[in-house]
Amino acid sequence: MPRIIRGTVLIILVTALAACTRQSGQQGGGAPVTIAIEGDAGNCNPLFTTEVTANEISELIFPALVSSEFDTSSGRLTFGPMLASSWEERSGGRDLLFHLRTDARWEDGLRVTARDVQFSYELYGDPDVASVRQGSLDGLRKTKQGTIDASQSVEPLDDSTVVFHFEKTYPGMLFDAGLPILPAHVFDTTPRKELRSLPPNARLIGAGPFTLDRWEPMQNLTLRPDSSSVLPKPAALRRLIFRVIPDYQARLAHLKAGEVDIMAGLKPEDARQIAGEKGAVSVVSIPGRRYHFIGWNNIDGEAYGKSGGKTIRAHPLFGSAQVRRALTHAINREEMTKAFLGEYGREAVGPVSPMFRWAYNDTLRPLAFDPRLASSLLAGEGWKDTDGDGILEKRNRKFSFELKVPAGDELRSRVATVVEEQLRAVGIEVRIEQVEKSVFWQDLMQKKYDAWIAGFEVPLQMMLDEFWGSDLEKYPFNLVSFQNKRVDEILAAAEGRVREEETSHLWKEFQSIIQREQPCTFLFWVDTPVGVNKRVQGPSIGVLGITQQAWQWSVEEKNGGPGR
Amino acid sequence: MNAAGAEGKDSLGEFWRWAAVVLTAGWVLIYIFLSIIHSRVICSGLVSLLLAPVAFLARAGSTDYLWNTALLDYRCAAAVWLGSGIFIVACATGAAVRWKWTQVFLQFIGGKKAGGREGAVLSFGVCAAAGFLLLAAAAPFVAPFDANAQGDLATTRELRPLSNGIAWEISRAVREAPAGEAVLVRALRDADEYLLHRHVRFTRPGSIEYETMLHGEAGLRAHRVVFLFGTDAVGRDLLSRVVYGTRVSLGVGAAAVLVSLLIGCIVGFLAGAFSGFVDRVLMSGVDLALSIPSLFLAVTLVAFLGRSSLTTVVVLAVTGWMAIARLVRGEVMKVREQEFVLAAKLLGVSQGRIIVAHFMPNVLPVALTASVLQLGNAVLGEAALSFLGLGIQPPTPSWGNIIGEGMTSLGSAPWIGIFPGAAVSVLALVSHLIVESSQEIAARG
Amino acid sequence: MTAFVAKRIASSLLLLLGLVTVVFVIMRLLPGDPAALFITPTVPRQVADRIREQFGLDQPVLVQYLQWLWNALQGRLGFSLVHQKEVGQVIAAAFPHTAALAITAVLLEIAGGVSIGTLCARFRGRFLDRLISSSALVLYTLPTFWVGVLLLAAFSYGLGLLPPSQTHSIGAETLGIFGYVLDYVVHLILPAVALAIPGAAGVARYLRTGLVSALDQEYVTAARSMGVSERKILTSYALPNAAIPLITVVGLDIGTLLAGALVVETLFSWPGMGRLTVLAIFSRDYPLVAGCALLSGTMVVAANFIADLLYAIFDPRIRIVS
Repeated sequence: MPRIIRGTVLIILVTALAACTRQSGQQGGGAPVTIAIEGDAGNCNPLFTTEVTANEISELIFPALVSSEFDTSSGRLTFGPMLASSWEERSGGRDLLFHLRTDARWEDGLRVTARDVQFSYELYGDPDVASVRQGSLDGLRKTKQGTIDASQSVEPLDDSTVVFHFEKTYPGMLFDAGLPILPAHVFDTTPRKELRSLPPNARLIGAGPFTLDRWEPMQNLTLRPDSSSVLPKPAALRRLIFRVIPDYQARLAHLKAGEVDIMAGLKPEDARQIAGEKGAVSVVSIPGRRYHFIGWNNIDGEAYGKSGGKTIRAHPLFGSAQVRRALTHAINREEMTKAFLGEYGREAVGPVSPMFRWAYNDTLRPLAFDPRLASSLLAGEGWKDTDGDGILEKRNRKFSFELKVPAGDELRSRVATVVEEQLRAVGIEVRIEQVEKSVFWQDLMQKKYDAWIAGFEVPLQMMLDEFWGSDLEKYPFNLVSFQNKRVDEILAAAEGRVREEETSHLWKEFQSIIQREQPCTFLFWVDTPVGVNKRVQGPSIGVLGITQQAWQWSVEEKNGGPGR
Repeated sequence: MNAAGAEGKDSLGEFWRWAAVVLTAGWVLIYIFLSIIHSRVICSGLVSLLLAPVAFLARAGSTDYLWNTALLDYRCAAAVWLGSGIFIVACATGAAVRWKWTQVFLQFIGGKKAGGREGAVLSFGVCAAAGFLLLAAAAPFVAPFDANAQGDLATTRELRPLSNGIAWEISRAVREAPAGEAVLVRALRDADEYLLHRHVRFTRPGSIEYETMLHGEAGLRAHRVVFLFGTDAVGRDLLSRVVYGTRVSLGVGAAAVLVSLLIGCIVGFLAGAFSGFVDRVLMSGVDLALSIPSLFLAVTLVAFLGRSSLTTVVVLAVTGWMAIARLVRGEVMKVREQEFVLAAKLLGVSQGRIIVAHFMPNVLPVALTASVLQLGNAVLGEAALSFLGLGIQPPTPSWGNIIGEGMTSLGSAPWIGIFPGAAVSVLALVSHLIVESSQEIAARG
Repeated sequence: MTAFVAKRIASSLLLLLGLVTVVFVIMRLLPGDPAALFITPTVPRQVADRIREQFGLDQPVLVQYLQWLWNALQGRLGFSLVHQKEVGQVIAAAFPHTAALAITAVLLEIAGGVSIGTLCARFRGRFLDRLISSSALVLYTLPTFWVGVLLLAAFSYGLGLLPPSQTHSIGAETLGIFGYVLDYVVHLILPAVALAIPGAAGVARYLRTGLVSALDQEYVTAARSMGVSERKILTSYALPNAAIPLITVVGLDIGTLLAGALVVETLFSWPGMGRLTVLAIFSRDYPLVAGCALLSGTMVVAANFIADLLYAIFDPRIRIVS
């Protein structure tokens, strides 16, 4: 018996040693770049992509009329030629005429034509297809019946020319015209209703710099260069692999060990540690487009719900701007930002991200953390502690409410804990409740919550009426139910102007109003630290997505394989 | 346990006996120590406890002070503390007055009466369980701070065990005394205000907040503190959280066990008493319930009922009654076949009397033993649920959710997960010890 | 014997049916629905309605139930809404990991428990026995996830010996079959040990009691007087008899483990059935939940059934009684 045990142990030890030396020699010459992702990329068909990664992949595979770039010094989105070699405005700016390249071909050899463009937009807009990007067609010219019909508003003049007819000018025209284009000859054979039930990642025939090489569900997805692509050219990498590693610690471990090259969403402390090590991994910080806030329901949600949306009354606790300002003064946002995010976040003053330099009002400072000022503001509104239980009352109503937090979010949980304590110090009772994500958003949209913690990612185009327009029926994402006439005027005025310079002063005024009214307590903008192995050479990662410039990446060959 | 190894085993019995004695002595010493450290709070609590009914009877002022939850908490804790103190003093007096009583008591602890090793184990288990109960009931006095007291995030996050810091007492403006207030009422009010406004905040030298506090207003009291178990990710003292977590975990567990006991007894009794169709239906129900994996059931119930303490109690009760039902059923069937029951029925004794006189004495002990075991399981179950985020919701501390919160900092601050887990394990161990030793004793005698 | 088997099979099937119905009903009663997954600021309401319609969620519950049952009997468990593929495929991807973990844990349990239990019985009454028995009691009551946390803190983050999560390292495909298997095993160690420790302690205690009582029997004394070695007595005489009740214990255990050791899977990011089920419930992925419940219920019921069967085979007394 012992002999067998000894023998087995020996064999195991030997094989373990052999396994450990597996690194070298496997990755010479045209090495692949591996990106670690949390969840499976899933279906990369641009009609149905909901996840960020799938979005980015679909944009690498499928061509678009224009390419977008974000100019960090001015904070503006600029567009360049891609499938379209040039374009011009017609009819006073309401129509855009695109001249397509004649040399663009799909992977199977057929030319990319204007018909493909029209077909793609028909699919995006068709209710039977139920694409998630249906909203991008809202700006197109409507038919006589008032509906949107892509077959009429996206008009191919000939094989290489296509006209987009818009209802009116607005800043996002080129953005909406830049959706990924699908090959008509591949997808028109299937009835539109069944497109959603096609096997995922089937028929991904594109014309972009990459094409789908292999997809192992829940494990990895591999892209390889499309050698015939001219949009703009075939990728320089041999392979681009997206590897699924659901656990954060595992992703981090693999990044440090050099087994994956890129990992997004590093926690601030880990990013700091990696940057400080000055080893094989560097940290790139994508400036924040995502902000977290504590939402205060400005109106009485119960009355609103019961009356079917007719009764709009100020909320008994949060209806007053002075109370909301007091709440913001009572919460130490600066400390939380520093503690939880470090240098990868900054305090938020309003819903306009500091990266939009042309619109950001940098004269505004965040409201100072001053609990005593908060107490006096509250006292000024009539909130006093008359019975000595430590909680403020006014007209027999205690200042006590439930703070809803979506379950499973560690950052927001911690914020909620700190907020509860800091508000307790000024006499406000907060009860924290964690709610499942799916239920959370449903209830939130129905305005059932008094207070909650949520986050938004702002679009690259400055279009904020979804979130701040007074028409609560039309803008269900105005979660705090903020209503202000001047803001509506500003939003309407900014909507029609295409040139951002004209609207800059409007947006700055908008931010002052928000600062004064404090419809919600803005917490912080979160930067996304991305760990990138130094062997990946090429343009740095930017706001538009990690892989947006991936076709320009190359790998610096090092001897002996990635460091362990 | 056969006689063959009895002599050799007695040294293990000795071990348990000494463990019980040491444990009791330890509790007494800790009691005295804590009474000294928290003297001011305990005095205020006692004053509040004694004067509240007096003030109520004297109809002095509004009755808000009676029903304030936080104050009630302090008063109950004070009552328990007082009760334990009286108990200890009585024991000590008894020992001084009549040595014989002490001997009997020591024998009980030592286990000669109850039969050697098992008795010793049982007494150890009971002592440990009593200790947990005391911890839970008198949490405000045992825990050094409030469970939610936080610190300056920059310097007090994730400190190692045995780190020190400074705690500032943040006092608030106290209400002005109305004119002509009776002395009793004023004393009560002072005690209550002290208890309610005992806010502290932690800092350490080197932070901006520390400097501000140091050079800020006079009159802010501060004292050095030691974080025995360290702090968690938001700067809260871990020891306090674990002590308050005892309350929550034990409370939820006990409530769940009571409900399980109720359901299990009813189902088991019905199945055992009316055998045949009823029995088969009920037992298939038990089998069905057993075949649903308990965590699956738990997750579904939580998705259904939302996450709260009540849901946790329901979930634990629903997943735990089956074992009790089976045991009760078996016992009931056994008793039913006994001759004296048949005889009683023939003699025309009423059903009710039969149940009370014959079934209860036999079935109850079995059910109770099963409940103690179930308590251990319930606490484990609550820990698992809260760990997954489905049980007790933060910031209310429970052993499970402290471990859950500590998961993300496992690499940098492992103590957050280790201490509460140790508490859970010890409680489970104690419940097993009690159950097994009492089973042995019952089987023996 | 055949009557016994047939009766048990019939009751097991009924149990399964009841289980699946209960699960189905409960899931439908839950608030929230899967279309909520797709709601973001840019998705219009009609799209959500259309998605609901496409998955047949707008039909009455009874109709959905009967349709699902009919499909299930034909082997088609439905289409997962979250994963966008057949439920059977999703489960087939996750189940092998759960099975690997469960089987390894049970094997470790049996090996550890039997060897320790035998050791204790061999040296019963002596110091070693008392030491191990007391430790076994402590280990038995340890919650699995805490054991996992301790192991992680010690061996993974502390000493860095073993990987903290997942089933394989990066680049494992390049290893070749033997290396791949070894890599998998290395990742399997911590979670399996975390699961096995309490189980092994339980088995050890149980076996020890059984062995001690078996060793007191007359036939053992007789064998001893005939000169049979102590070791042979243990392995050939006492052990088989004492091991029979173990079958039930281990059977129950493996059934539960196969259903998905949820907490350990969460702790170690093990992509098994437990995690899959929980995620499915929380995203209201009805078909997947029903499929998972069916599978785990089947595992538990089958394990119980096989355990009972083996018990009946090995212990003739049971057969006669039932």
